[in-house]
Amino acid sequence: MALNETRQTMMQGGSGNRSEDLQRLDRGAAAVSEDASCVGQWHVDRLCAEAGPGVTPADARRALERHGVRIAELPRLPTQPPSAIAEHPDFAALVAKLGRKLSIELVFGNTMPYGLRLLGGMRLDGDRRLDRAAIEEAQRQIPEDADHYDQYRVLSVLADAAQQSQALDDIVFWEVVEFLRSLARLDYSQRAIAEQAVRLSLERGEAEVVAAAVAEEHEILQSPGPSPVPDTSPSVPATDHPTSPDLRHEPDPPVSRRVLPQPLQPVTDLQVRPMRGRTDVVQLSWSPPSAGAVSLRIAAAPPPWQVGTTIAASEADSYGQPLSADGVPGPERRISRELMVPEGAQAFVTVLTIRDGDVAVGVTVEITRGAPVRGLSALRFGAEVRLTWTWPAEAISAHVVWQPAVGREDQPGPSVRRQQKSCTRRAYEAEGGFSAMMGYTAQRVAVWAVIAGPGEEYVTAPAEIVVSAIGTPVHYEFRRVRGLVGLARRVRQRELWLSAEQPCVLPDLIVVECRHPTVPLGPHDNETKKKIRGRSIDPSTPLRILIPLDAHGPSWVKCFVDPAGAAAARARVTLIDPPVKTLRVR
Amino acid sequence: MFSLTPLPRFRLACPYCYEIFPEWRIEFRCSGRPGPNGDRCEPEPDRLLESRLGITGDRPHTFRDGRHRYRSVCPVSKAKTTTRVCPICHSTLPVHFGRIRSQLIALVGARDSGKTVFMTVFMHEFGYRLGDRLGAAIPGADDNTRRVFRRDYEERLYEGHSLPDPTFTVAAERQGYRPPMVFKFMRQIRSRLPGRTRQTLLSFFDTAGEDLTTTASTELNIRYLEAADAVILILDPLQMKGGRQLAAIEALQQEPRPEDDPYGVLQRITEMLKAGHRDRRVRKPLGVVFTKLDALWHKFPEGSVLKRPEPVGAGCDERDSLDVHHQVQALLYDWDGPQIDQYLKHNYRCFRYFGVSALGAIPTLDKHVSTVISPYRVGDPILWLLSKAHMVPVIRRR
Repeated sequence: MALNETRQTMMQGGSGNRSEDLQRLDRGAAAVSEDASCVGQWHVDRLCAEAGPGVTPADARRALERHGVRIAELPRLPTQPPSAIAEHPDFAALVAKLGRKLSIELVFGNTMPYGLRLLGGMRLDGDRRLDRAAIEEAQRQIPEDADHYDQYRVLSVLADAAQQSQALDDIVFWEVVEFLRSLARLDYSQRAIAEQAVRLSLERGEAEVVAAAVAEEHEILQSPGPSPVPDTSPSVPATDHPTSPDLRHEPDPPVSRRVLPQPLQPVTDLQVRPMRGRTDVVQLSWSPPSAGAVSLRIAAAPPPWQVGTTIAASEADSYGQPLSADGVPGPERRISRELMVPEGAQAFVTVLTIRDGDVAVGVTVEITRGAPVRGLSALRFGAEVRLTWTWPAEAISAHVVWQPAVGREDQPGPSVRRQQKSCTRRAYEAEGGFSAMMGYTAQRVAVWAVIAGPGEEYVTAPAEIVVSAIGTPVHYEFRRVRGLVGLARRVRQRELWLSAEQPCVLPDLIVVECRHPTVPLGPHDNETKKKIRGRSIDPSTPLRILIPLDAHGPSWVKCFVDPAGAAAARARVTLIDPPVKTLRVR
Repeated sequence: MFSLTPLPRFRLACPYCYEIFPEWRIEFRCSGRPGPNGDRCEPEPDRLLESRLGITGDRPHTFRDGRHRYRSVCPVSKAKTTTRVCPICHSTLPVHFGRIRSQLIALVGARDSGKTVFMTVFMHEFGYRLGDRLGAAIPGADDNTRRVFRRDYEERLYEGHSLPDPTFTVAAERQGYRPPMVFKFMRQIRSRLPGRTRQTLLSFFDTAGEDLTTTASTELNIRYLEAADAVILILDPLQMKGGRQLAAIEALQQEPRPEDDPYGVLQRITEMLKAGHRDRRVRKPLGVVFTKLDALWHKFPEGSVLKRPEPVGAGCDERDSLDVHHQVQALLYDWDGPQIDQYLKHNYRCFRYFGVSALGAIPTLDKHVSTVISPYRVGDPILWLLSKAHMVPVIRRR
């Protein structure tokens, strides 16, 4: 997790006087604030210990709060599913199959109430209730479709659980935590996890606390050794959830005795990160290999060797200049050192593992000056994506690069459909951010801030974000029916034309006719005129389907993706409405 | 000799006090410079300016000249002057007042509905994206507008990232009068004659939300609404019960006040507009703008017209505008039921719904915007009104 990395900024050897310790503490707290809005006591103690003996927990708390990080009592997280669903091993799979993250979404449908609170018992915002009656009502509302049985099963489990005190609370808490854990395993930042928790309808304050607990747990699990500070946090249970064994007191894993000489291993986790508030220094960190010595070399261009290649030491000496690899051990047994950013256009640092005249080539990182943009976020308007971020103080412009998220940037070979635009800070601020037409597919976007230096410009490390895809656009329209039948005024009918921008598989669609005063926003009962089964559609061949309408108008006619269909299928396409006046049929 | 000077107009409205008068009643203010004989008029307090608009300070006297329309000679000092003033309030009129058209636009809405932010962001957008799109410019028409808009509105929002304070009420105008903002809209038009432009003065009177909470305070606004050529009614969906239930939780920072109920505000404004008119329905175009869409975006499905890219044509895109109108109308039924829509249908000949987000993000609790101002569709309402006045073309697509 990023918190681990940022914390290493503080590990610079032995402690000095209190003012130096406080400076280190401030740097560490600032680094923590980049990724977290809320932490628990464990982080406070850890910061405190890493800053030096001159720092007290109160200092650490104040430093964190000064940087906008809230300190909260984190709930203990369950490690086992609650008993109400433990008896149904396919419960989670069923919920996922139904396209839901939480099973209670099936109770509330698309009107899941925001402001859900879980800590200290589940509470819903407003006048919504989650009880057996609500669940049974949802069971009665299940549409007759392919998922009917699955939905019924999930709701039945919930209805049974509703008879036990707190059982529903445990289920929801477990589902929330499991979902957030999956994000943590994907290396989401704590802030991103909290955002996802908010999207799960959690009240923001609680979302941050739960995200902090999940991120902390993940960090502890990822850490190969014991935390430098024994846990003293009086973690409070959320409810009576089954809780995890205290991970923080786990002993060191046993050190295995080396029996055979290990193969030469390249270092593959060399990382570079900027130092907050400084553009002239970056921090390098890496995990030492199990065998051999580490050497760093800096050059103006990347090395010609692939990662993992074994070369002769003499060959390695011919590449760039040596850098001292004397670093400071960090909390996760990573070694870190600071590096003055060299003057010049570009610099690359390569980590090498040396033993007995052989050299294993490790990862190469590019050294850039300055902190990246912060708070990068994206808002999609169809094919247009609008990006906003917070600039580093010294930045004057930014390079924005995007490419489909399906491929990996670090794959060799030319980048496919990679596009780039530059954006001056003035234009960004005057024109409301950066926007570009990026299409409907998921895009991996990277933003490099450009900082003007003496005589030349430098780019910072990139900030990245993945903009999620939306379904393939499928346009539809209702056309008058040509021919004699169409001319007969008494026959009210329209021909539905469906055309996709790319080949895709249509989900089940429904056409509704209604007499509301306004254009319908969604389908209602008894308004469906036709159900159209899902099928493949090709851009060159629009689908044409005759829609018979009621004998008398006027009425609204509109096409929707069948909400009873599987969520995954529904998300495959985005229906684009025709001009609204064509939806009104006389 | 043939003159291109248009005939004098019988009905002009002062863009500052919104009073109606014929063109020949326009007065001149002495320049204060010495005349050919060295005589010079000394500045003196202008009682009218002070009593009508609360503006104090000494100025040269004013006088009427029935024979000249654009320049005159002071009868006292014989100095030439081109400074024309409103005969009612003595405000200095914009340079081309009377020669070009005027559009007085009243911005009305409940407190905290976002009127001032909407106007500020629209003007800013016009200076950058919209102006470029339309081939138009919209500079301030007087020194006060240029200075005040930049200092009190634009800098505060765009550089200070801070939302404006509640607008002064008209009742408080004697102490802290906030005059209408007057801009000159200029747009190049296609013509065989080079450099032809279409111009109009745009006067925005930003009412205080408090002015619309009681019948007594609304009386003070009647003059402005009567003279206005068009009205923009700003409504906040977060003041509606249904809208609040759908909104992002962080947007619900304060409970709605009963007196800010959008339906009530609409009724009071309509009564003011209809007062003294025979016709049953109001003829003035009414743009009904629902702000703060950013708090509701997450509820709009992909493909919704309110999640489409903004139109990019050099005019008012009629199809897109109608699509938005119907979509917002349908959403309004969800948010507040049919009462507002029905009321508008029965009381207005020409109205249209709009959905905008002026900030593009939900402000913080302390009324700050944490990121860049990234508006969405903020130009639509005024482009529609300008298209009604034939100042921008209507783009019709199939």
